[in-house]
Amino acid sequence: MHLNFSLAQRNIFRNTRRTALTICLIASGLAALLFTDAFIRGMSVSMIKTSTETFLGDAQIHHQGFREANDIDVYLKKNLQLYKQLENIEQIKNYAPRVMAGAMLSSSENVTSVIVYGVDAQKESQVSQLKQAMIKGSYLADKKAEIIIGDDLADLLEVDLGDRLVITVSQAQGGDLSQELFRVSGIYHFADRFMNKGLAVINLMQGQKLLNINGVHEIALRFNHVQQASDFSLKLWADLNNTELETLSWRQLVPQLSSMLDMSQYSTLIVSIIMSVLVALGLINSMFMSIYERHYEFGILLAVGTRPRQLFWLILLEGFYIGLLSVVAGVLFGGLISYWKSVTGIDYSGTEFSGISMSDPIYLIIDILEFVKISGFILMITVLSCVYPAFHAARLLPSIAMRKAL
Amino acid sequence: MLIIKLALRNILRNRRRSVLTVLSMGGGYFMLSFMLSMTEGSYSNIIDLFTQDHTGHVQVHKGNYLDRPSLFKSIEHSSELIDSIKKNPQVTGVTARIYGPSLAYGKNKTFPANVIGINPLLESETTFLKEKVKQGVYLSSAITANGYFPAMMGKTLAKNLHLDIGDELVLISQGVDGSIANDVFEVVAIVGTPESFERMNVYLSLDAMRQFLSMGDQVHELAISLKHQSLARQFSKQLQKTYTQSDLRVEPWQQVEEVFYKSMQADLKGNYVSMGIIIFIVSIGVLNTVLMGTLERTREFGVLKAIGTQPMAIFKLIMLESFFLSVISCLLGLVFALPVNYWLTVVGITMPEPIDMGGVLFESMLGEISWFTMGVPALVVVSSTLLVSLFPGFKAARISPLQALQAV
Amino acid sequence: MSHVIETKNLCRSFGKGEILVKALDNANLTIDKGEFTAIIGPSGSGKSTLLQLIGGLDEPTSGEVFLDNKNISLMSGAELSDFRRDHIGFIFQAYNLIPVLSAEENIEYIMLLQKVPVEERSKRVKEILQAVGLQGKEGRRPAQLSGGQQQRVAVARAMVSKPSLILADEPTANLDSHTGAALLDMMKELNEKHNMTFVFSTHDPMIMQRAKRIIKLHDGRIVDDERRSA
Repeated sequence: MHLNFSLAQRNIFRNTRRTALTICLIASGLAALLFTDAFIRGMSVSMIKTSTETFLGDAQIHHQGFREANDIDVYLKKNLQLYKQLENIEQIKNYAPRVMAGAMLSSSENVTSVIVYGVDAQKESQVSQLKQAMIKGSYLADKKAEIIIGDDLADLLEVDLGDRLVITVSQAQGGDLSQELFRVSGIYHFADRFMNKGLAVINLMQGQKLLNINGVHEIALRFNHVQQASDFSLKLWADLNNTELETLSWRQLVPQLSSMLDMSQYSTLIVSIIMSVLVALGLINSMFMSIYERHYEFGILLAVGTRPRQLFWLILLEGFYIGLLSVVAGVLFGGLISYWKSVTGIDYSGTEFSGISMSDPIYLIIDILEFVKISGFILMITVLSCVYPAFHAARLLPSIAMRKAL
Repeated sequence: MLIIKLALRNILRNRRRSVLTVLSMGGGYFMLSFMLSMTEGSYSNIIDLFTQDHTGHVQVHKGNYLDRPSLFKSIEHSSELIDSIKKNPQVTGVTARIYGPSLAYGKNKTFPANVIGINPLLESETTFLKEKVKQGVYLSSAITANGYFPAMMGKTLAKNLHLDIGDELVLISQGVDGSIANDVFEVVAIVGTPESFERMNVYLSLDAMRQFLSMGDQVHELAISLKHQSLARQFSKQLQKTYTQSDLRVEPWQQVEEVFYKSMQADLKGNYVSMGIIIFIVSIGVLNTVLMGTLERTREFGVLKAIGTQPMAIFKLIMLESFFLSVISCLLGLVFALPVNYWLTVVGITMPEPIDMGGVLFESMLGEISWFTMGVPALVVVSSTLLVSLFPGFKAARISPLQALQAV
Repeated sequence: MSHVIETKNLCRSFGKGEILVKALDNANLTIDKGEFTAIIGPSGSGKSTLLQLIGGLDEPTSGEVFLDNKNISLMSGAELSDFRRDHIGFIFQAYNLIPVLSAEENIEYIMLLQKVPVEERSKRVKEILQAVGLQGKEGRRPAQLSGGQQQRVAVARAMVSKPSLILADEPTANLDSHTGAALLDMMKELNEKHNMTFVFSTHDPMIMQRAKRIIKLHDGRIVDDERRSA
């Protein structure tokens, strides 16, 4: 009823301080929720990006059994055929073949064990960030005896550009030890400790020769959109998984990251519930107080012929208006903070979660649709919290209501 | 005392309002206690796990070995150092290690392996290594019946090399003198699981290691375990002071596992922010309630003052009412928090997939019941309630009797 | 003969056991159209209770109330509300009005409940404001009106829907004698002009002077019932 609307609007401003505090309460809860959502979104995107773009790729193909045994004899032999197949899959944007083996890397000063990757320089640059990570010297250029290493590894081995490194590794098919000399042609830096200290990269062909294999151990894939790597309904997963091939998305390759991200979704839900309960409790109290103050007036309204039901809707409407104002305040406040942090980011450098170094600040991501959903949810909670007080008001007996309250 | 009686009865006047307020504050207490318990318990648990697992609480290295490990940065006179450290009553164990990354050769496969020379006896006093022997017999310094030095292998390495107890293990590395180190060892034990820290490790006795790498009486690392992990920083500082002459560095676990520590701190910070927000929201609700409760009794307070009550007494009354409300809330919250935290402490929540924080795996989240996790939330709830009640309290104390009597 | 009000063995008690208070004990009365009746008695005699029961604002412990021959004790909540809306006007001692509505909005309120169309509403509000002498003050909120003016708005609201009965509980208690007298004269005039039934609960001698019938209550029982010519 139009009357109820204007009554409700006027009523909430009768006690401005109380209404303001109530709005503050609800708006704070909403702002906190919005911020949490944007933060988790930003963190997830950041971690997935760092993980897949640095070196892992959106997905990887291995020969069945390779990942379990880490056996360099278990490699993809029909790799050229495979490349053609990959080129024909529309969701796959680029692929990078690699050979890999654990080896000893020694300089004149020190020796350490590393994982040596042999990569196709050009294809690799389309899938991982290896090329962009170069800080000294130059990226692989398919020249003989090139090796690029991380800056921490270079420090450890006390080498610089041009210095000699010997790779000692045991070959496939027999396990004979093979050794070869390389010269440091470039130094890279990643945020990830392992990549800086435990990895060395050489050219694919030389890697194959060194290990005595004519195939590759791993093909890293980049999709057109990273979400496609989580879409298991795509035909390619069936095509690329059989007795010989094992193709896994990043979710399966780094299950810890995947499960951590899933848990984060839950935490938004849990935070929402907690927030709602706290807000509801405070709001119900506030509503009751405002009703008590108006007992006499309600008595008169009822006496004069207002239906109890109308009183019920009046209270609910008041709650609705308070909710509306709170949502506006909360969205403004929460939105502003989220926006500010989406630009400046939150610094998590030096920390590592799920194996991912958080060297880049986390930039919050505002999803408007989600904001709207959350705001709507809080509005609904506000109105629902008023049901109990509204019920109480509607069931007042006029005579009792008009007895002067204590 | 009269004022206490008054305060308690006043709370009971408006039952519904008091109940709602108590629920709100009690909920806040419960949340805070739960969160504190989770963080304290999980972190304590994890820290204990990995410090007892292999790190120890404090480590000693030569120079910047921790950042840039090198075969040549070694600690001299380790036995003397160990003896002097052992004298400290806070120390429960000290052990020494030599690190020599090598290639491990088994049958016809090679794999890089972290080869670690240990003092089997001291190691078993300092870390859990001995308990992690899954197959075979714990390492000893003696030579085996077949004339080889014994070696313990990590699970994954053993699997990759297809080696088992009794097999021969060939290790190739670079000695201190620059020569190629090449020796055969006999596998006497498999330690750990495919996911545990030692999965790619090989353990030799110090004597075996020294022979393998042509080293003298040197070690790379001393690992010290203390009575409690919280003693680490203090102990490190004190010990470092005694090493001003040599280039030895003493580092507490917070530095040894720096990335984990930083990640943990970041996570804790986030937690504290959340708790702050919860208390803030609860406090606003309480402020609203107490303020309203005060204002609607304006007349009554006016009468009280008219008949001679001191303003201070009214202020105290309001504060006392809030205090009782908050204490009751905490007790109520405690009733729920205690069993929940107890369950968390004893059973805990097992993660479907272990969470990796700074390289350390959390498999389950444990809680902790302590004065801290149960008491701090109470402190926070009570003090924030009192803080928030100051304003209404002052207002009530300053009511003028005349205005109050004229009011509604 | 159809009475406007009829009560049969009306009782209302509060409390239980030892602290049982019989506010009204077996009240039997009838009131007819056009009466200007005062219910009087000392504090605690039950006059407010009787009025509230007649108006359906309270539920009797036992007994029945008939208004226009309808048994209101049997009515449901919504029915009762509608009945009050259409047939009874109320004037209370104080706080009659909705504070957030202006004088004319307060008067309009009942007609809004009755869903009277807007032109009709405005017309009647204007008429009524004139009748109570408040033209020009229709936009003011209760806080901006004097006690007497507020009561006059209350009277206007009570009358605007042309009820058969107006119940007034101590309407002059908060007014000075001059204002009170003016208010009562106005109500007397309405009673005579429109034959509207007025029932007062009061201990104001000014009302008793003007009343055509005086019902006296003592300790919840009707002890006297006097008709006079005014």
